Amino acid sequence: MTNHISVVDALSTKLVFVGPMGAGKTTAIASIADSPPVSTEMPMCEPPVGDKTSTTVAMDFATVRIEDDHSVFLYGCPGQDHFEFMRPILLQGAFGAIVVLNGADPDIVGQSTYWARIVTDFDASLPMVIGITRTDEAHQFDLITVRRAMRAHGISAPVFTFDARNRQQTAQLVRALLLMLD
Amino acid sequence: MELAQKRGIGLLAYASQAIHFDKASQCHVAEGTAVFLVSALRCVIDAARKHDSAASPGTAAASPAPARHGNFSALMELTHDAWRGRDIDADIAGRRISIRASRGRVMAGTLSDMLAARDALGKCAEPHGFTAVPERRPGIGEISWSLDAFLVDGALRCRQSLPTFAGSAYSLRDWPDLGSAGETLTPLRIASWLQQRSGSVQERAKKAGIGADEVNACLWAFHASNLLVIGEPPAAPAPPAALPARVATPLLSKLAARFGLAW
Ligand SMILES: Nc1nc2c(ncn2[C@@H]2O[C@H](COP(=O)(O)OP(=O)(O)O)[C@@H](O)[C@H]2O)c(=O)[nH]1
Ligand SMILES: [Mg+2]
Repeated sequence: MTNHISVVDALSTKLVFVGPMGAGKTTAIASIADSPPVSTEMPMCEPPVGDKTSTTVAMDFATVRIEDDHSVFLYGCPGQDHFEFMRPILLQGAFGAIVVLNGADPDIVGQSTYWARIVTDFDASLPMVIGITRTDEAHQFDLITVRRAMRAHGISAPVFTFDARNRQQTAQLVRALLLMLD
Repeated sequence: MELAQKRGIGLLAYASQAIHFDKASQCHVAEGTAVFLVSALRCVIDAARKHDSAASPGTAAASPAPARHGNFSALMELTHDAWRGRDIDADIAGRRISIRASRGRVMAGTLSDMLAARDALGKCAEPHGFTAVPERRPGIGEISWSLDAFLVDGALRCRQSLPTFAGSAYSLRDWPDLGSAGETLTPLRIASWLQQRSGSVQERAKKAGIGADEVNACLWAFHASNLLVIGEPPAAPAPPAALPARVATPLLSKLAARFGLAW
């Protein structure tokens, strides 16, 4: 099956997932996409997070068809710092960004402002939703402190906890983003 | 007050010191906001009415057993100044849960405790069912969930029995954490309207075909989550024309429909 997609539509329906490696970007994209994302997975050269032995080095790509000839393009930005140059390339022309973070990270507060700032530094008016995974496993997870830190950085994006493996929960992030565009 | 207690007359006691009443038609409030007083008053009136109809012959067998204790539903109790935003261990319908409002989480020993407590938020709170605990006290159990999602799902389940939330001007301090809410659409839309602060949320809901009871339930839930700012007149909406549309409108509505949102 081939998709006929015009360039204009391609620019206007791009959604980008950013965040550190192991947070759940690829999983989130896979949860809502029509087919498994095309990802460039490579063995990691940095210390592994949990049992993860591979991570996305270049990017993830997948589509969500919205009508016969229209698709939303989902992109996952590589998490590692040395792929920083990829972020503005992928964010360019997106209608929104979803920041995916690992709630089990002891520095979740620092991580959330760090990654949200990457998006707002690129474009302060770009609609953004923060999604935090693994809060089921992290008993000390503190949403209120994350919210407070975001506010201190002048960021008013919704902060949602979710399970990237769950389609409904991942879709909630997209819904919130769409409501911000309305 | 003693006389009213003796005779079982409907009573609303407004005092900073907690007073415990046995009858559902008698209750104590420590907080003086209009919202709270009005809903407390409604509770008293409803309970007094129920009591009257239960007492009249013929209807007694049909009416549900009157609440043995407690004056408020657990949800309403959580909106009280004494509990809202505080860390508490709670006993809701016999299930122990730990509300950790300082972290925006709720914890339970088992998933079934968590879900049963959520489903019982509309039931009368057990007397002394809530205990304030110091912040950072670990919660009971291994199951951890978003407090906002827990409250909004529970409130929507008991929406028919909730009193009307007083007032008309509200806004939100922060977006509620609705990522894992079972009720996916309504609370999200209501939250986004409250965030936009443009016009009456009730009117917008009506136009969108969302029931007044659903709006009401979300307001109670957001208040219990300590997210609702009450009585602040909605600020002028931000000029929407300033930003170029990121997605063409027809495409946006298709996209929204694809994710279950219709507008
Ligand atoms: N326990 C738990 N695991 C999760 C949750 N969300 C995602 N995961 C797991 O976290 C890992 C994330 O990996 P991946 O999607 O490759 O992360 P990426 O590097 O950001 O693309 C996967 O093994 C997921 O199954 C969650 O909410 N709870
Ligand atoms: Mg990945």
